[in-house]
Amino acid sequence: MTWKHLSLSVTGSSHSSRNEPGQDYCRAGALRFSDRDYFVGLAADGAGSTTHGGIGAGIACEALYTLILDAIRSGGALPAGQDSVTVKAWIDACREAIAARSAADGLPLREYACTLIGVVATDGYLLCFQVGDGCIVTGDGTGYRAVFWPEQGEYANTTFFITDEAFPDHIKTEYGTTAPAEIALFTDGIQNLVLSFATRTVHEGFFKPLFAALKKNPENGIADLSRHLRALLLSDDVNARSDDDKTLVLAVNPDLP
Amino acid sequence: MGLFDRKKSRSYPKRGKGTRMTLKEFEQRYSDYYHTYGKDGSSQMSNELLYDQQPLGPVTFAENPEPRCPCLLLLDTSGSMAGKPITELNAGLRSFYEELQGDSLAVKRVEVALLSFGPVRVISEFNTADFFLDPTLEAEGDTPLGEAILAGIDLIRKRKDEYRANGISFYRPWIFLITDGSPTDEWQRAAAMVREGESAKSFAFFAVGVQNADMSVLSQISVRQPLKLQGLKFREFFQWLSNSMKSASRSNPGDRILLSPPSGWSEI
Repeated sequence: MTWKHLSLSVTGSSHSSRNEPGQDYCRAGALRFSDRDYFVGLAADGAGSTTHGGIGAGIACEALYTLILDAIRSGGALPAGQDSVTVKAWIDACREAIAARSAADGLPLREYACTLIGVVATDGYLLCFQVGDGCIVTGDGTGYRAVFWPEQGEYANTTFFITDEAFPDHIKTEYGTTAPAEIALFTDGIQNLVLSFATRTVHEGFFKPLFAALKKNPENGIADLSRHLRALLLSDDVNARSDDDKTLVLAVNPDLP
Repeated sequence: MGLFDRKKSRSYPKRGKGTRMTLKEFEQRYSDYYHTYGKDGSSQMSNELLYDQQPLGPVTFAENPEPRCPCLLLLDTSGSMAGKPITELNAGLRSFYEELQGDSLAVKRVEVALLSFGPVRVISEFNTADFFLDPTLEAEGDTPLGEAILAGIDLIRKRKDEYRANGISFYRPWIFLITDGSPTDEWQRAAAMVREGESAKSFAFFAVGVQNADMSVLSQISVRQPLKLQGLKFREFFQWLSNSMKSASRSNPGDRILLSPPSGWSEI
């Protein structure tokens, strides 16, 4: 059975109250190639201090999605083991795509600053990578794990971006030979609501019902689930705790343990 | 805060003329849901699904402490501040706390510490604005400015350690030095520490001179241009400071914190 997934980005009240567009972006897809089912999930958060961070986030996700699909289709090109060279090359390519746009717009690259998190999963294979904050959470039925704890700068309002000169220092890559049955990616607008920073643990009460609902919902019920999730993330109570843009990508594979 | 635990109404659904089902009947009829959602103790979920026919039940959120926005005030209470200046400073300080207390987010995030000098005294350690002791500062003694800065930097270092130990994220601390005189102790080492802290982005240091303050010494201590208070406009200064703290404490990752121009209280 294939991966079931949903993804959404909502604009936080800090932007919407000023009629500004959101600066989060995500791209997710499930595909079948050579009798294998793949899930690819990507999310990016444009820097709040920039004018075009949201555009950077969009370009990064779309460029990377194409690259990863190409890698899957060409077969065997996905990074394994400690090999993070491919991930670095992917992010380099994202930066080039963003740089092309920034040159066309006549703006410095840093105005397109964004974080980036990504997952590629198939049976017997899991690749996670991340630059900056936000988080990837995986579940195997017994518990949940934050793959990388969100990398913040020293202060609450600082982090790292793929447009930074020193971006290679901040790429985190993890490869595994088992794909988890449940995968979530989210940007920093959600992280304080779903991670417990004091204990550095994942808050089960958020993910458990969501994964269960996604698993339970028939394919044609995911739209309903997305709608409710969107309403939840846009609710006043949530905005009172985090007025930033919020992106959530969820995927389940009912065949995996 | 249980606010997020039970978002949806707990009321029973409108089920026409029928009577309420017992829990047992529910379990039998909807055993499928119970198997999926009920066993792990999150029975809320199954109830929601049953009652509201929603694809998504109530999810709960992690409780995290609010990120803190520390602000240290180094206040000159030397003898020359006696009379109107100290009265105005006290009044300004009171209005500062009132402003912060009146802002639902700032009251949870902004932490203020007060350190007076002449002699150096920690009036208040870092606390959110709801803990205000209303100290009523009195003017006395000389102006050990160097010692005050070193003690203040130490206070910040300790507070950061406490934040880290408790998994609390925080913003870059601000230090505001307010003085009306010139240092009566060795201040060069303090100036070096300020430069070091500024270049390491450990804190942001601002100096405000009052009346006959030695502005040239202040500009050797502070990397940022020191500002001169207009007359005794402490209230206007603290109004500006509370507004700045409010916007700083709201900033999200990647945001640049922009201080509004110090109009209304500073010369120049």
